[in-house]
Amino acid sequence: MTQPIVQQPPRSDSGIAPPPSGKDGAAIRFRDMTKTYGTGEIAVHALRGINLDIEAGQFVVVLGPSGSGKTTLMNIVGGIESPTGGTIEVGDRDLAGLDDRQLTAYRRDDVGFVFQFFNLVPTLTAIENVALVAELVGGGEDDARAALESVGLSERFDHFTSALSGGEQQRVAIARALVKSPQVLLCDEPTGSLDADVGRSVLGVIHRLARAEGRTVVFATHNSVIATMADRVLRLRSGEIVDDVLQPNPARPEEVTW
Amino acid sequence: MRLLRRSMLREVRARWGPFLAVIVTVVLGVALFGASYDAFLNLTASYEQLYAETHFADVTAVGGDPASVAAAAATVPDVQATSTRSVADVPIKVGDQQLLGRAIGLPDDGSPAPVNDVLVLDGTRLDPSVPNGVLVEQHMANNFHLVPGDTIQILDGISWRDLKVLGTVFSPEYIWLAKSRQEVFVLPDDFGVLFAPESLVAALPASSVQGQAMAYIGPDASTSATEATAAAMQGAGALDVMTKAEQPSNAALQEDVSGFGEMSFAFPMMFLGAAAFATFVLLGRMIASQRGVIGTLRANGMGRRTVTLHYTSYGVAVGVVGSVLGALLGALLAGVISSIYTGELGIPSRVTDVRATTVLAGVAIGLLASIAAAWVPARRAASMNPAQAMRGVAPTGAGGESLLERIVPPLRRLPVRWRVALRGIGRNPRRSLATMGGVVMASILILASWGMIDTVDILMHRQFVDVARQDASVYPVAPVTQQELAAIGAVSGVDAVEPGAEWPVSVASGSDSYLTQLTAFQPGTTMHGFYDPSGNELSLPADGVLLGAALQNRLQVEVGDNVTLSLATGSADGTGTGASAGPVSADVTVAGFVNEPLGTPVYASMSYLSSVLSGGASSAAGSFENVAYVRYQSGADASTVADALRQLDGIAAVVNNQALFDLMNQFLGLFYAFIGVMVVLGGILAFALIYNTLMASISERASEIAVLRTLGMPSATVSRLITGENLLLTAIGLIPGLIIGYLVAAAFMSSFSSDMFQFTLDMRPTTLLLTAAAIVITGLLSQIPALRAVRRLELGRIVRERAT
Repeated sequence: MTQPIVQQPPRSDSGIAPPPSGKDGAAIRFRDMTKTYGTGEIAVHALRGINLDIEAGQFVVVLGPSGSGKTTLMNIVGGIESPTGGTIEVGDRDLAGLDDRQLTAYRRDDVGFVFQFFNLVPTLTAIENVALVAELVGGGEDDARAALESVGLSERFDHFTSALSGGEQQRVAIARALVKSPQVLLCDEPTGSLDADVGRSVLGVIHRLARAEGRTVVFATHNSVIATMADRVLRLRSGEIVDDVLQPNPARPEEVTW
Repeated sequence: MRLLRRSMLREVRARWGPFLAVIVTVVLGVALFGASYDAFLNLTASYEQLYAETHFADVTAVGGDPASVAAAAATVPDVQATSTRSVADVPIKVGDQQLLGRAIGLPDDGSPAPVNDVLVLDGTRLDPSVPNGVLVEQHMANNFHLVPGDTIQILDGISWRDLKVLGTVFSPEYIWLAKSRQEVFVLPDDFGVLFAPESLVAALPASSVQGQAMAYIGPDASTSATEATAAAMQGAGALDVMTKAEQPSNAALQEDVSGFGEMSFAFPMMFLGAAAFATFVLLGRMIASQRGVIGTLRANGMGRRTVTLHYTSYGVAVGVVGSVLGALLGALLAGVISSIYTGELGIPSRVTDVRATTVLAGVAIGLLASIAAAWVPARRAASMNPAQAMRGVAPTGAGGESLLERIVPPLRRLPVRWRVALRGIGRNPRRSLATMGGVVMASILILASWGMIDTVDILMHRQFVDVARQDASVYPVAPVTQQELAAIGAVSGVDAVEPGAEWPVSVASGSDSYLTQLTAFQPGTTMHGFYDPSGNELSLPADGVLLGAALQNRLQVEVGDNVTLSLATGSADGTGTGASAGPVSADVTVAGFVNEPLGTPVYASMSYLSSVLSGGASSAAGSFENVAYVRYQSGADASTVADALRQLDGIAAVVNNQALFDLMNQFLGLFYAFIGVMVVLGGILAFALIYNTLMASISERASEIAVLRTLGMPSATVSRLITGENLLLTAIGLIPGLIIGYLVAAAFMSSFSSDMFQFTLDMRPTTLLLTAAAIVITGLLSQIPALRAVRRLELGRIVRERAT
């Protein structure tokens, strides 16, 4: 195993609460997984023979430049793309064998997505954006209210997205992803559109909430500094894992600076 | 620009569906313009050509001394020719078939008539060496298969007289076979026209002969010249004058011509307006998705003009393709419509031109509309601030509750996904307006068309069931006798018979007059229903007359006023029978007004008529009662009974109401087909516009929809949201659409109204519901491609394209 990318400072107290009772994170297993776009001369091999086990509850950062395959990996775990070859299991579910309806149910029940560009519905308020997803799993505005409070937006329930700052919009997106208590949280460059301070606070929210529920987190970024807060860092290049480092003492989000 | 053009072509290929929808709308708009405008011009030219060739009278006067009246007309400077003639309505027999005939005098020497001449289609003109030779008008000739050499008979008052058919002719007065303005629909089996030597017609019984004077001004007769001629003729003692515009056949034909003229304006407006809307939306969406590219190009020095021209070129492309195809289609349709129409009318020389000016005008109109629609968003693209545009994401607006939620607060408690649909309407007001605009236009087209069907259907029922309650009108050769009434009543299948009277009369008040038909019934008649303009049933008054509602304004009279009734028949020299000079007339009281779908008649009871016209009328008419109205027994076969009635002695003709009803339905077949086309076009319009705006909406919200799908929202739920938003826009558009459609239908029907037809819109409530249902169904169908696009969204690609 190669050396970790960033030396971690010694820590005595991670300040992380133990996971409470509720849904636990799911383990993720890749076996010879490939993803190819196109055929023949124009074929693009986005992922090549990925073999990987991610433990339930692990916070994994996937590092790599643009075109390395991190988003493709995330999309396959999230069930919005299917592998070309190999298998991927999340919990006890083999995603490769699921049809569209089953994948939709998997995403609804077991996956939370946080994207770089928030993608909130502009004609809904903060609480309505979260409630829209809560309703998918039988919840309502009460659940949305609790989710927004957990991300520190209790003063912003009835604000439309245009009245929210970038950081606040991303926190709404996080609340939206977590309101249905997913086993797996996928974050694709969630701080990419935010400045450093705001990005750090968003990182803190993600980290706290994911840890609190023991969720499995896969966090894609090209910012290697963020990798210091992960339990495990995977480095992708040209669709392959070129490095896989465990970090027994991950940094706290407030300690991460860029 | 070359590369930009290449980009444009690829863009069009990628969005071929919406572009095709816009092009189809342009094609329809331009084609309808070309077809209806050229048909309008062709019909007008065909009629005018024939009218000029035959010297169709600009003014026709009845009553008075025809020679004096014609001489007075000749003093008007613009009048090119004048003429007099005798016209007699007498029974005719063709083989065993008896019918009501009209004999019209032509110069005895066979020379062309100076006014109201005829065109010989087969055979020769009148021949002085054949004094009983006649020319048969083409409708009668075609109906009875008459050719030169055949023999027909005319009742000359005493006996049936043989006449030899010398030729078949076209007459400008009977392009449409109308007996009078009150009887615009007649069966060729029941009414025929022939042209005979003037001396022959003048010698027919005076009670059936009407002297006429005619004046021809020319193809460019001005209104002032026509009015001056009419005034001169009235001043010389004419009982009534009729202009070319009022001539029954011409008036009926002009209704159609003006209809084509109106369509050539209304349809292009509607369809090209829709195309402009759709182009605006489509291009607006494209520009929004290309913000980043536009910003980058502008930042790299591309000028505003280049950007404007590039995006306007989409409008040019749509306009060129749609307009050229539309103009060609319109030219083809114009020729077809003109040929079919003039062929049906039997017009001997038709104008079926395709005019380059119409084609060019159509192309220009379509092109202008498309370019104008593209120019606005193109200008907006060119005006974008490059720095803002390069951020790539269009401003999404402030967000807010929908108007409906503010008006109906409980809607705020709907599930959030339904609030998305409610608020989606206000998200892009222009696009929503475009969708609603399409719904409004389609509603107008469909409801106005359907409303016309309802009206015609209801009016037909009213005319042939509620108003005219007789099943047949039996015309004896001489005034009806009691024996004849008894014989008619004894025919198998006859349930009731009543005597009646029908006379052409002039109704005058002051200097205003109107030529119409007086119909008299026995008191308490069961053969006719009388309804006032409000639809209330009236009784036949014991005193006074009932006038057609159109006469209230025309003669400026009210109930209780007096009008002068003058019988319009007499001898050719206007002296009537015996020694009396001038027509028989009397002052009568207006007892009420009736509103009937066909005609503007005058009704009176026979006892009243007899009392006011006694003595003089009897001597002029012999006896009043010249018709017997018959009602059949329930279940009796109308044709069989009518045939049996025709076999009775002394019966000249039998007009079968059912046959007349069937004839009208036959004519209406073309009308219904036209309406059906309008309904379909309305559907296409709604489909094209809704489809376009929906595709633009999906395109704009692709990321949002992809994220919702990613978060686990089933595609069926997304589809329901889109459907809900679409239905809401459709429902909102339906409200003004149905209201305006109703008003347009009312205006359209009223534009056809005249003293010949009273068309008041009468729409069934179910028609409103059916129209709404048709629009909703069209809206649902039009969103199928959009929903398919939603299901096919490549979630991974969309998510990836938003990532760094």
